[in-house]
Amino acid sequence: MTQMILTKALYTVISLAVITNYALILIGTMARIRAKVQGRVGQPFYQPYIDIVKSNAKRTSISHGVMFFLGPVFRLAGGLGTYLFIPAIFGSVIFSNFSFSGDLLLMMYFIFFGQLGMALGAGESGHPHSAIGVARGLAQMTAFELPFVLSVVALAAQYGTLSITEIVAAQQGGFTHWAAFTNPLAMIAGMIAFLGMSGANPFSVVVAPQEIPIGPPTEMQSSFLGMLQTNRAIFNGAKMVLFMNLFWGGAAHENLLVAILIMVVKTFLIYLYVTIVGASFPRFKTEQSIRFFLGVPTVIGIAAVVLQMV
Amino acid sequence: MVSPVVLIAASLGFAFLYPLVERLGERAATRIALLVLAAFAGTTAGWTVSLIGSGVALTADTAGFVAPLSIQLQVTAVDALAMTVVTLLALAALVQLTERATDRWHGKQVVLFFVLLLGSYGLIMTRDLFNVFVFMEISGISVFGLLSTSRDGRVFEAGFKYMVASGLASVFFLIGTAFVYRSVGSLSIADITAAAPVALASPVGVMGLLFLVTGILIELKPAPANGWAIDTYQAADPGIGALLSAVNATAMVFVLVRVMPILAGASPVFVPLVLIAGAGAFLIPQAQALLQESFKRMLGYSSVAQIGLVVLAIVIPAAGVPFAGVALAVPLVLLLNHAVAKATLFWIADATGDDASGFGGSLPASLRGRPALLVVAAIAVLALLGLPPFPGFWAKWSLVMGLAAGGHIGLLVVVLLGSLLEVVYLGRWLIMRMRHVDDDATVVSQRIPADFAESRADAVSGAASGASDASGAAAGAIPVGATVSLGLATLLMAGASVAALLGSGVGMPVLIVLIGVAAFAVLDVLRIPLRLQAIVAIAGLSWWGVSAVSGAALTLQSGFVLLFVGGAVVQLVALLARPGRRAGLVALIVGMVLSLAALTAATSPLEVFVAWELMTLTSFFLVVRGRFAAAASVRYLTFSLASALLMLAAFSLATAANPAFGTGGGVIGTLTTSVPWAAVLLALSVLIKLGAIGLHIWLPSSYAEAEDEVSSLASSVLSKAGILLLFLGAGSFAAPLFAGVALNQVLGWIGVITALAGGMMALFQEDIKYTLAYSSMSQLGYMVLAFALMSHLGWVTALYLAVNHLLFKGMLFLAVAGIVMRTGTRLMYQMGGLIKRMPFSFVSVLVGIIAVSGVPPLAGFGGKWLLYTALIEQGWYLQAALALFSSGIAFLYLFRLIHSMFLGQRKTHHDTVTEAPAAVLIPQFVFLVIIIAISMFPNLLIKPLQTIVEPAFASSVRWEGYTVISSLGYWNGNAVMYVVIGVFLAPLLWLLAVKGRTYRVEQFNIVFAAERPHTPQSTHYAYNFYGHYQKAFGRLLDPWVERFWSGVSATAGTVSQTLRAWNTGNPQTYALQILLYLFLTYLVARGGL
Repeated sequence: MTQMILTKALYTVISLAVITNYALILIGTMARIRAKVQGRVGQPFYQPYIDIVKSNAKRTSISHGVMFFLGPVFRLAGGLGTYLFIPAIFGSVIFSNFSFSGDLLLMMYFIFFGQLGMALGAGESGHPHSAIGVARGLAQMTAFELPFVLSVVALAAQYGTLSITEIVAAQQGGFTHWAAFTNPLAMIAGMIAFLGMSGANPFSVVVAPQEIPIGPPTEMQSSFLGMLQTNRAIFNGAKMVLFMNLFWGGAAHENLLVAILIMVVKTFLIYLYVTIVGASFPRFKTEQSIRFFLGVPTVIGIAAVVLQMV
Repeated sequence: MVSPVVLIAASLGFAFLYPLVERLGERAATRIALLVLAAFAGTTAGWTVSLIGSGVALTADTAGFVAPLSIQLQVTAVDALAMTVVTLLALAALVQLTERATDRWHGKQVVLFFVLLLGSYGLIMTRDLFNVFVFMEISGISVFGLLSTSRDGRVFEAGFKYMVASGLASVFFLIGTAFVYRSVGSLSIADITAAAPVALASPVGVMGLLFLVTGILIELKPAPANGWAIDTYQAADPGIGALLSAVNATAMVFVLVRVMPILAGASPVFVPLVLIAGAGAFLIPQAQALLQESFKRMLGYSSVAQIGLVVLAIVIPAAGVPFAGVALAVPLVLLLNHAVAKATLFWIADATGDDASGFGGSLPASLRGRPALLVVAAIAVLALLGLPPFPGFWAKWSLVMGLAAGGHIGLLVVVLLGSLLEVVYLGRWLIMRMRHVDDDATVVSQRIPADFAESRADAVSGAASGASDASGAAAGAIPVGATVSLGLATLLMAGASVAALLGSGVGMPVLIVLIGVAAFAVLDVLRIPLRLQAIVAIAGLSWWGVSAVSGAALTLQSGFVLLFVGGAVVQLVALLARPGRRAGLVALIVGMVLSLAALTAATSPLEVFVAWELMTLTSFFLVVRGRFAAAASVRYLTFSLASALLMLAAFSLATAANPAFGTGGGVIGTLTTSVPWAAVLLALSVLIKLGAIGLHIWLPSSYAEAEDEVSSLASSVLSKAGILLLFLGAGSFAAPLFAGVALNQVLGWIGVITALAGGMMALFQEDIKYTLAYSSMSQLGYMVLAFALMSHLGWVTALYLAVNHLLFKGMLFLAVAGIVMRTGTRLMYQMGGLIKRMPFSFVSVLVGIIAVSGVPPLAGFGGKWLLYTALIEQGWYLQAALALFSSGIAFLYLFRLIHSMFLGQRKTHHDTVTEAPAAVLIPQFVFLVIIIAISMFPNLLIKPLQTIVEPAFASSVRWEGYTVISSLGYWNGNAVMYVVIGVFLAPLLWLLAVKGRTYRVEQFNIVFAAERPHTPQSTHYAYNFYGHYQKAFGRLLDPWVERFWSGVSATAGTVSQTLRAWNTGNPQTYALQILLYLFLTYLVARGGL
């Protein structure tokens, strides 16, 4: 029993280490790509590491209360949990994580865990900009949730299961078996929703980081901020792995390294897509993004579901 | 035994002697008159006792001849009973009239009173047609005499109208009598009845009978030819109103009873004719009364309507067979119920000197602060509305069952619609009278104060003037006479109720409800403090609940008993936080809980219905206690009783098709009916109670405006009654409706749209209680959706959601109760930053909202997992997506709730706020512990729920350790909990390790671009939190439903106004209307209009 637990702990550490480092590098790379598009030199790809180390090395930090203190903890726990409930690499024991705890539904609801905790922490800071950011973020979240849910339901109907592992299993045997091609409408609805989920342009009014300090992390600093930066990598990684599993055949190969490579390539492309869209479009106001998500993507999602019903 | 003639002679004799008696002094004479009346009551009561069950009648022939030559008087047991009640009411009326503060009756008024009584006795006892005419005239003239002695011009005018109308009626009756005598050659009713099929079947005979019956009907004051009577009720002394309605009308009904066999024997046209007359007489005045502003006039409308109902009941015997003779039980009970209740209300109008009815903040809350009078008024109103445990209820039940069994669907609709209208105006009167003095009776949604000092001052002065109004009214003492007569009437009603209840055959659970309420009412009378009552209630209910379920297998019944009683007992602890007395609170809560328990134990449709009505009543009186709950309780009462009436209709149709309907008792599907209409009505009834979209407008304001502890009970415990009903009626809802669409599919869509709409509306509330109320509506929508799946997993889900909702909504409402208690506001934006002042409440709300929103690892996720798995399993994909969307919306309003209250900047005047009292926190933490337990070990809850559902469906999930596995997916709540603890602890430990460098700063230490805000407490971002959401949805969020019901209400008002305009107040018009009525009866009798 003890040995089993220790083995699992070791696997978890490996799995987390891989996804954290990969996602940090990915974020750095994408920031650099975006800079290139805008005609700047940009930051080095390892800038996220520097940020995290810097934040954690701050000599002072300020707390506004227990919930403020716990906010980043909730946030990181949410990111870690979300990742750990997803089987990252199909057929791999090390990367199966804790996917035996629950299926896709668990994952979809656990996403809220970190957001709720973080929002509470940010709320206790007492800074109105945090609350404004949260109000915008949550409102936008419910909006993109609808096309996302529709696409997930369409997939569940198509494969007759809510287990992520089984959904990936059903997509094996060549790219024509990927849900992206067997259920393109669901994929489109899901991938548009993913834009909102990533919080990149045009759906970035939530954090609006450059112009004014607004959004949940407004009052966060030092280790708190470092924790949020770490989570950003893990949480993004988790979501990309999820979408890879849902629509793009997952990452499967008998050689684990090849499988990881497949995951890297696929998630890189998924993130690249978000970056390209973000670099090409200006920012929506909150009510505009809500209307956007409840418009065309939702109709596509409904079409995907209806196609499964007939 | 005393001969019937003696009573007639004594009345007449005493009337003649009274001027002599008055020589002894006015007071002494009235006392003697009361003694004489008491002797009459003794005589009639003696007759009742000796005749009842004997089957014989007391007969007396006059002038030494036998009938038909003599005038025969006869008293059957029924007659004797009616005469006893009439005499007792007359006695009470005379006490009231002679022992009041001003305008005491004396002299000729007492003489006329005895003549009126004589007329009424005669009408009941005589068996001679011409003699009926004589007594009609005696009654009419005495009423006219009583009215015309008034010096008030309006009363005199009313008396004149009364004379014209009753004169016309007598003329018709006399003409009819002449025709009948010509055809039969006898005036004895018995002879005429025997001869009718032959002698009166000719056109001449029918014509004569037509005159005869029209004369009787006019005397019964049927709409639309009754403006004269309504004017009389309005203008006359309420004491006369009581006499007319209780004594005179009761006697006239007996004439119809005597004549009905003649009519039915002579021609088949008369039964439908009287039916139509009765239906019109019932329905039209109910509509006319809707906007009535004079209370006496409203009571007049109600009186003529009730007599219309009695007429219907006479023609449609309870046995359900189309007219086959006169079965008197139902009409008699209705009649006596009406007589006592209506007299009571007239006397109350006299005692309070308050004739205003209708609506609006200016009306005095004249029953506020007068508990005894309020109880008497409430009893009278409830009895008139035909609610249990009063006698009218049983009669109405039998009548409706009879109507359905006889296939009189049109009449069924008339009776139910009329009853609903009556609920609106009588209920409104009661609510307006008992409302809080500050309440202007307009509050049906959250109130956001305008931010101006002047308007606040206005509000305060308005409240103050309202208070002085009411205190002025309350200061006036009730006259001795009214006290005695109201007491006598209430005793009569109580006695009749007990007798009816014991005779109705309902089981012990229903009786326990009433015993419980009565027991705690006694504690109130003994002025036992609230805390002690609460402790007694907790102990009593716990003991009762444990004894009810201990040893029993887990079934739907015992499960719901646990839910109802357990949920209520825990929340009752919160009452310990309130010192002092709050009359009626514990009694009503106990009554509500016990009636919910009775609902689970009901073994017949009647018991289900009684329990349902008792639950409605107790909860209504709980809601109406709220400080600004008047308008909300009008809605609550109207919609709840509409729901009850729909249920009654459903039960009657179902029982008509299958007499064994609903006799299974407390198991799933007991109330299954194969009649599609019954199923639809049952579904509608339950949907109203569950606040389904379109039928929900009563829910938010009722839950929000009730007292805080009541809100939590109503939302967490009471709301589950509808879910229980769904399970009891389970089999009905699979019925195909149209084009292959089954009822449950419609229910499913209604459920999911309710979930979404409730969530959306909760989003934009600033008032925390409205947020939670809309949230309840949304959660109930999920339960309906899950139930509608009609699958194993769906039903487990519905029950799981019900349990979960009870736990977290109880927590949230109680937490809010504590916060409102401490901060004195319900508006969230006026709070903020309370986390440091009320940390325990924060923890409770936090766990509550995590459980509602379904975020793992808490139990709420179990509900979500079950729900979506069940939906997708059944192929309800779009519903699943919508449900998920609305669960996102729930996340929004829940975050807003916790943020606005506990986070952000604290108001400076809340710096000294303290934590909620322990008594309010304890129930929250009991629920919290249960939530954590079922989150860690979901099998603790899901497995028992499976046991409950499995009699109906085979299990569709299997368990592997803590993992529940469905055909689609799996969930291991236990593992999730451990993983979450793990991923939470790791970063936490890391942070704690570096915590040495963390500085705590004050709440207000925030910075806008290097500038500290001057008044940081004003930067709390809370008002209109989701303004952008509102913008995004635009007109989609308009209150369509509210608008629809406003339209319905306005239309009803217009109809009422139009109908009321018919009563012009002009005697000539009234005379013309009576002639037209005769013409109309002729046309109906001829078989066409």
